[in-house]
Amino acid sequence: MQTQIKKPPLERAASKNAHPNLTRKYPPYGKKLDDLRRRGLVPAMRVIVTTDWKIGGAFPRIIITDDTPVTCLQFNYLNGLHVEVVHYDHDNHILESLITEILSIQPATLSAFNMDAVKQDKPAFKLIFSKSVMEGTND
Amino acid sequence: MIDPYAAIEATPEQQSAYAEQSTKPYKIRF
Repeated sequence: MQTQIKKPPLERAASKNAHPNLTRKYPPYGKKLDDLRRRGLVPAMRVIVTTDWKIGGAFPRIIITDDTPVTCLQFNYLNGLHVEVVHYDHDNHILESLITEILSIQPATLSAFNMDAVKQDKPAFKLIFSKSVMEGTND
Repeated sequence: MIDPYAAIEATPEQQSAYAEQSTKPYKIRF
């Protein structure tokens, strides 16, 4: 008796390799923002990127969790938006790669706010990138 | 209470940049 071995279609394997985008994961609330963008909408307020679930509940936000490396997260929906990374000193190990990833998406502005610096009475706000200084003060 | 996800219409520039960004494959960093 002869058995037939079924091979996967070639075009499926090729398309899987062609889009590394598909292997990236949405951080919590990321899909919600991407759904807005797909419908031609943008959030009315700046987007908060934070590692703490207790921060930024009144803003559109995404949460960076420990379970997925920053380089495996999808951020494309932040393109052209005002983005603020709100972090603590203990997040410093991911901060550089998080900022690099978000900058590669080309936000309108990117700033960082260190919660620990506030407690220590040090400057907490840092403007990292602004496409236009006037746009950066517009929300 | 204000809806944090209240949205406004994207500008044509924002929309075209998003469309371009969404089709662009990410650089893979090791």
